[in-house]
Amino acid sequence: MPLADLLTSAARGVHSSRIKGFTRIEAVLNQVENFIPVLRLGPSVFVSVPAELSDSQARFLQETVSHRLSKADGVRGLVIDVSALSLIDSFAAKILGETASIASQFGVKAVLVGIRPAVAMTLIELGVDLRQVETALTLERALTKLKIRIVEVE
Amino acid sequence: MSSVLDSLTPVLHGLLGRNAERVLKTSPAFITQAVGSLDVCEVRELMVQLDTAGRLYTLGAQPLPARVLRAAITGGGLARPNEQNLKVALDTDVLTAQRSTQYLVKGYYSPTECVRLATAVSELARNMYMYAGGGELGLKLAEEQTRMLFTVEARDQGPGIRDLDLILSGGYRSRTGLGRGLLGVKALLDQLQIDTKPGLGTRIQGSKAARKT
Repeated sequence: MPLADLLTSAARGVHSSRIKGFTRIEAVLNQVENFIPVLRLGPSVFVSVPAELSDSQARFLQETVSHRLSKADGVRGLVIDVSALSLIDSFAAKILGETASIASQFGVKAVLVGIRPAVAMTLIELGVDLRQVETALTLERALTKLKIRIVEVE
Repeated sequence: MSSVLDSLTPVLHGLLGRNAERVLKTSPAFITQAVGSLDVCEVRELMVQLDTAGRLYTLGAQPLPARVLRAAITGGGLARPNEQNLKVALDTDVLTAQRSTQYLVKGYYSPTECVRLATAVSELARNMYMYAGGGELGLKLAEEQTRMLFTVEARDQGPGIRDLDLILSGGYRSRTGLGRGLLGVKALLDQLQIDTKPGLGTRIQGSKAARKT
């Protein structure tokens, strides 16, 4: 299939699996996009969960976080930002729970921050229990939970 | 039935004068189809094109009235009920299923409902990918007299679901998931029907209705 056709169909919202060869391209793109932003903020590490979580991305997330935490010195807390995540199904919930457990293996407390209202409502109906994971409404409250205070210097 | 082109021409002439011809010339080929026969994707594509052209020819003075154009394209009704059939074989297909669902129901269901439906579809797709080695997913949005109806059908030739009753009673925990996928889907949708035979695959059908807005 010529590239132009491929792009047109993609643009029209016809989805990948219907088009032969497109899935492969998507897989390659996925490899390139496999990037998890991890930032250090004082004694805590801040990780942003991407907008969509596939199996491989989820594994990559756990790998990145555990790698970073094992190397970092003096980290007390892990803030997991899920505000970009458009939906959390039972798989994504399990991954987040596991990531929190991994963090606790390193003696790091994990706090989930920024769950969207629609996602929260869905989680309740889905019967998924995120109670074993600490959550906070805002980043500031998450940091308070991790006993980190932001001080302004004049 | 007249074509979209026929019903759109006078409207555009009224709005843009002689420039209407130029806009129509650059429109996608499918505007020669009958009024009301375009699917959701096509209507959206045409609307975007007309919006761009409108801004161009009125020098951005005022955008073309979307409501009028949409009525001319769809014959006043909803764009043809959209259907999508997806194959689930890779882990990215699960994401495609999520995206397709949200795309399909967006605007017809409330934002929260959209997330619920996408989550339900995601659970079904993920189940097929993880336990049945892939399968097919059919998504459909239909317009009925008083309501919109979203149906999802998941078919696979996997090993079937063994302890279905146990799973649906909530007493089951799988090794890999939270063991609540199906139960969750049942809670998220209005209706769920599961046909499964050990070794012969599974067919799950679910639906959710929404009042028309």
